[in-house]
Amino acid sequence: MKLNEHDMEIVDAYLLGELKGDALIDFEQRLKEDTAFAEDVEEMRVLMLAAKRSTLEEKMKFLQEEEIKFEDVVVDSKNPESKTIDTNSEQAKVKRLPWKKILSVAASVLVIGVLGVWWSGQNAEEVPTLVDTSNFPDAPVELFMSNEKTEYSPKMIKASNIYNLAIHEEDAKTQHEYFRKASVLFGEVWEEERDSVALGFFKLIDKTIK
Amino acid sequence: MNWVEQILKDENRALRQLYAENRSSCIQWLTTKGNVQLEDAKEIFQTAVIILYDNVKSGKLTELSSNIQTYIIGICKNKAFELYRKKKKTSLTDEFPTIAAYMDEEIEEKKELEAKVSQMNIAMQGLGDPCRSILQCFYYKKMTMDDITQLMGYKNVSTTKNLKYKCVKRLQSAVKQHKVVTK
Repeated sequence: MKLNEHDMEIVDAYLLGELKGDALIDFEQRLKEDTAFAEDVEEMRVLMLAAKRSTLEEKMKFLQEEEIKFEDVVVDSKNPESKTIDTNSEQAKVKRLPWKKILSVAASVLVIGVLGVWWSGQNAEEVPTLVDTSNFPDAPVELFMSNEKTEYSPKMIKASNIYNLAIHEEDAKTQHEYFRKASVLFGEVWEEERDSVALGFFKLIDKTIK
Repeated sequence: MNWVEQILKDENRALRQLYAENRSSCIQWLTTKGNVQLEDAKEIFQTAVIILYDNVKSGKLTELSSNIQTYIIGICKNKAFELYRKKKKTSLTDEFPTIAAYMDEEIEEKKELEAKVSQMNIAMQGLGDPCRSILQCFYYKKMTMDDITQLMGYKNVSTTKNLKYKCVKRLQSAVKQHKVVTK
């Protein structure tokens, strides 16, 4: 990369579509003749795309944080006596707080799901070692999550939220319903993401419910 | 409400409001008519809002001819269809192996660019502020040096220009260092 400040200004103008007339013709001529210069321009084009991606990823993260405000845990719509967690209540806020933290610390590179289809390739499938959760059935899921892994899917977050609600629930029937919901989600996370924490909790709940 | 104007004026506030106002109807549309699972529906809706944002920022969308919800649902529809096709992909490949191979070739080329962009994106995250913001404002949001100077509260335009130049250099050397390490 040998672009000086003046050259970079011209390259910027070209990439932003601001170069017109003779200046544009001269620029394109230089691109054809000077391969080193062409490489520098290509690198700046990559930078431009990276600026776009990093902005859109930040916005996606912003929306996912917004989503947490809406995520109601509806236990059973057919049973009016069952509980619906009001996300605005203080209790709900306290339980959700760690997730907000995790999300905001996390995910500088947040390429999830549908958005990922645009950009990213597939991750190679890894076989993780199973996290043994069975000795601590009352501990919140966060404790078992890896510090190194900084991004969690919305489904994993939801499963964990519901599991954490379950272990604090006093009403046996509601608790059972929470466990059942969390177990379904953990099972799906395991199938989709091969997350060993999800599998650990899936097995743990399976044992608990039985 | 002129959403295009709002997004250009105060993007986070506009996105927050847009999200809240359209969330339930779009997700409901996706899960009932679009036959999409709830978790997928949420991601599709979020993606649709991001695409709307990108279209406004890139100047592709300057005026909404329909109402905002129709527009977002239109994007959701396309994304839901893409997801459906992605899930069905294997059977298509079996049916037309030559076409599949041809498409892979094209993807191969894109993969190379994709790898470069991905690497630079990671380096950009590592760069931190103010460099990251300056580069995002200039290269993606297409803000002028005057606007960036004002936004960042710098003394004058030449300070901003000089800093931006240094930021590009820092980013590029970070990418190079990363390459050396991974090799």
